[in-house]
Amino acid sequence: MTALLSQLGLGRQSLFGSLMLAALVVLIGLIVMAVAEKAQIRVANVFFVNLILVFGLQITMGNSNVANLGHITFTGVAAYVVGILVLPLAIKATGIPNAPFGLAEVLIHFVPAAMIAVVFSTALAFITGLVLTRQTGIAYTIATLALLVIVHTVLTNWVDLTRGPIAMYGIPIRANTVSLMLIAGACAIVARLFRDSRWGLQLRASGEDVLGAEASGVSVRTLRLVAWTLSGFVLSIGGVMYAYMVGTINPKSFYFDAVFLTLAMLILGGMRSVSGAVVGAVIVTLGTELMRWLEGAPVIFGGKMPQIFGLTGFFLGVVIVLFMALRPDGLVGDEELDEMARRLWRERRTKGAKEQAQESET
Amino acid sequence: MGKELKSWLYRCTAAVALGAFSFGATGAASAADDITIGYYVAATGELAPYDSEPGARCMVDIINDKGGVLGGKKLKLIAKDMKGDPALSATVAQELIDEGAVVLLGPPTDTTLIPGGQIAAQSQIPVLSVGSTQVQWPAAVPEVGYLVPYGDNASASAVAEWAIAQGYKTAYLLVSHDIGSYSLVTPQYFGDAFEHLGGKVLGQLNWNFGTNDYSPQVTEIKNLNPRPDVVFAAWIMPDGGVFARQMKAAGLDMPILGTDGLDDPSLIEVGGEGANLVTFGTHGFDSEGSTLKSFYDECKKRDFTVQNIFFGLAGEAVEVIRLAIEKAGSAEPAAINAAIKELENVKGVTTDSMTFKDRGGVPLKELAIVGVRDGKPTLIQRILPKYVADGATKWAVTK
Repeated sequence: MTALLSQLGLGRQSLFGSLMLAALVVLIGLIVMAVAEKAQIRVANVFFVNLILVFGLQITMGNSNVANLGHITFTGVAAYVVGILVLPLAIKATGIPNAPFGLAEVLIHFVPAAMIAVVFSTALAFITGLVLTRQTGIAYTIATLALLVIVHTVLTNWVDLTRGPIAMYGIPIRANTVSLMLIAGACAIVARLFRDSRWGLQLRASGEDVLGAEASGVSVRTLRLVAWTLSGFVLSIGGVMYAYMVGTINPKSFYFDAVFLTLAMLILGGMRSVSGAVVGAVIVTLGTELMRWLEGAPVIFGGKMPQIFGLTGFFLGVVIVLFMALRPDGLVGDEELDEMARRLWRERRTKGAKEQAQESET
Repeated sequence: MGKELKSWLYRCTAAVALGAFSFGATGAASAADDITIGYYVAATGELAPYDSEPGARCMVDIINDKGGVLGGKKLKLIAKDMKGDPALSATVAQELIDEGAVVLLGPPTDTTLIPGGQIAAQSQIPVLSVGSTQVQWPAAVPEVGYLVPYGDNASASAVAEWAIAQGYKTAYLLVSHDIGSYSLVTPQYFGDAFEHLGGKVLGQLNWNFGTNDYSPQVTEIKNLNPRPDVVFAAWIMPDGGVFARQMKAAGLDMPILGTDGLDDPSLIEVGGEGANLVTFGTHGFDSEGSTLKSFYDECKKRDFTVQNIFFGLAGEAVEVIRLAIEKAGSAEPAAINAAIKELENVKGVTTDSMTFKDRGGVPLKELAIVGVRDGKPTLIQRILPKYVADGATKWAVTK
C-alpha cells in the first residue's frame, strides 16, 4: 500500500487531506439531514450533484490551468444513457417506441445501468480527449465548447432516442442525500489524490509553464488526456446522479447554464485546489438560497421587503465580478485547507519559539 | 499571513451566518383561514414571457375584494421563482407545499412542470400550468396535472378546420426541433386534423429558431410544383414575422398559419406587409365587451401591467381554482382536485366556455382564430374545434 502510494508520489499528508475533505463533505450532508426540512434537503441534494461536477471540472481545469467549457457534455451523455436504460418499458412504448438498437425493449437494474452509463461516457471522454488534448491554450478552450455544442445538438435532434427537446421523464428517483454525500465524498478523494499525485504535480507544473515542464521531461499531452478522462469519469457520475435525483432530463439541463454555474463555483472557491471546489460550491449555494429567500418578500425586522425576482442572477454576477477583481485566485487559492492549517500551525509555533527566545534574551 | 486567514475566516463565517439566517427563516405563517395558492413561476429566465405572476395576483385581489371564497375565506398567493430550472422546480414546489399551498400553479414546459408535479401528486395537490399547451404534461402526472390553456392539438386542429372551411386543399408543414414539443409536434397535429377533414399535406421542411433568414425555405416553397395552398408552422416571434416578410418579398401570397406563438404585437412590425398573410389560433381576443377585455381593464385600474395573453391565462387559472373550491365546498387538496375534474362548460377569462370533465387534464375551450388584416390583428372567428387531433401520449409516471 505504502509502496503503491509512493509510486504515485503520494505522501501520508495527501491521504489524510483527502479523507478530511471527504469527511467535511459527508459532515455537511449529516448536518443537513439532522436539521433541514424537506425542501432544504432538496437544495442539499442539488448541492451535492453540483459539487461532484465541480470536482470533475477541477481535475482538468484546476490542474492544467486551461479553461474548459465543455465538461457538462459528459454529464449530459451519462444522464441520457442511464435514463434510456432504466426507463420503464410502458413509458418507452409510447415515448421512444422507435429507439434504435432495440433500446425500446431494454430495461436493466439501476446500478448496472449507472455503471454502463459511466463507462460509456468515460470512453467518450477518452476518445474526444485524444483529439482535444492536441490543442493548446485558447484553441483547446474553444474546442471543448464546440464539443458541448455538438453533443447538445445530437441530444436535441436524435428524437427517436432522446425524445429530442421534449422532456424525458419517468426515470426512477434513486438518489437520496446519503448516496449523494457519500459519492461526492468519494469524488473529493479522487480529485485530491490526483492533484497530489506525481501526474497531478507534473500537470500543475505544465499549467505554470508548458515549455519548461516539457523540457523537464513532462509528457504534457498524455497527462492532459489522463486528466480529461478522469474528469469525464467524475462528471459522468454527476450526470447519473442528476438523472436519479430529478427524474426528468432535457438537453437544456446540460448546457450553458450548468456550465457557467459550475465554473462560477470553481473559480470562486479557487480552482487550483480541491478544497476550493468545496468552498465555492458551498458559498454559491448558500448565497443563491439567501437571495431566493430575499426574493420571496420576507419580513425582516418587522418590515416587509418587496418581492424582487431576479436577485439570484444578479448576486451570482456581482460576486463573480468582485472576486475576479479582488481575489483572482479564488477564496482558497493554491493551498488545500489541510495544507493551509498545517502552515499556519507551523508559523505560529516558530513565532512562539522566536518570542520565547527574545524573552529569554532580555 | 495571519491577517489573511483572519479575513478569510471572517468571510466564511459571514457567509455561513447569512446562510443559516436564510435556512432558519421560512415564510411567515398565514392567517388560519386563508386558502394558499402556490405558484412555482418562471419569473426570470427564458421561459419568463410565458408565465405571469401579476395576472394571478390581480385575479386573487379581485376575488378577495368580492368577498373571497366559501363565504368569506380569502385566497393567498405565494409565488416563487424557479428560473426555468427542473431541479429548482422540485425544490420550490416542496417549499410551497410546506408553506401550506393546497393547489399549485406551474410554469410553461413539461420539463419544468413534472419534477414539481410528482411531489404534488404525493399529496393529491392539483397543479395547473398557466402557460403550457403541451398535452404531455397532464399525460405524465394524470391524477393532478392540468393545463389551463387548450392543448396544442386543439389549436392546430382549429386552425386546420378554419383552413378547410376557406376552401384550402393542400398544406406544407415547417418543423423545428428548437422550441420543445411546440415546434416539433404541433405541425403534426395540424397535419393530422387537416387530412382528417379532407385536405392533403404535401410535405415538410425543417427550420431553425433564431436563424433570422428563411430565404432557403421560401425559395424551396416557391419552387414546389404544385405549390401548396397554405403553410403551417408552430412559429414564435420574431421568427414568424421574419418568415412572413420574406414570403411577401418573394411574391408568395400564401396564407401562413400558426398558433399562439404568433400572438404578439411585434408580429405587425416585424412582418411588415407580410404580416397580412398570417392567421393563427390563440387563447382569446380582447375584443370590446369580452371577459378578457374587462379583466384587463380591471387589472389596469389596479396598476397592473398587462404583458401578453399569459396575464389573462394566469387570471383564468385562479378563476378555475375558485370555481373548483366553490364546487367542492372545501379547500382540501383532494377535494379541489376532484372538483376540477368535474368542471363543465364554465366561463373562464380568455374564453366563455371551458370543460375539464373527461378531458384528461387538457380542457376543451372555445378559442379564437385571429388574423392580421390591413395591418391590424383582427378576430376572425371563435371556434370550438369539432375534431381534435389525438394528442394523447401515455407517458404516465405516477399511478
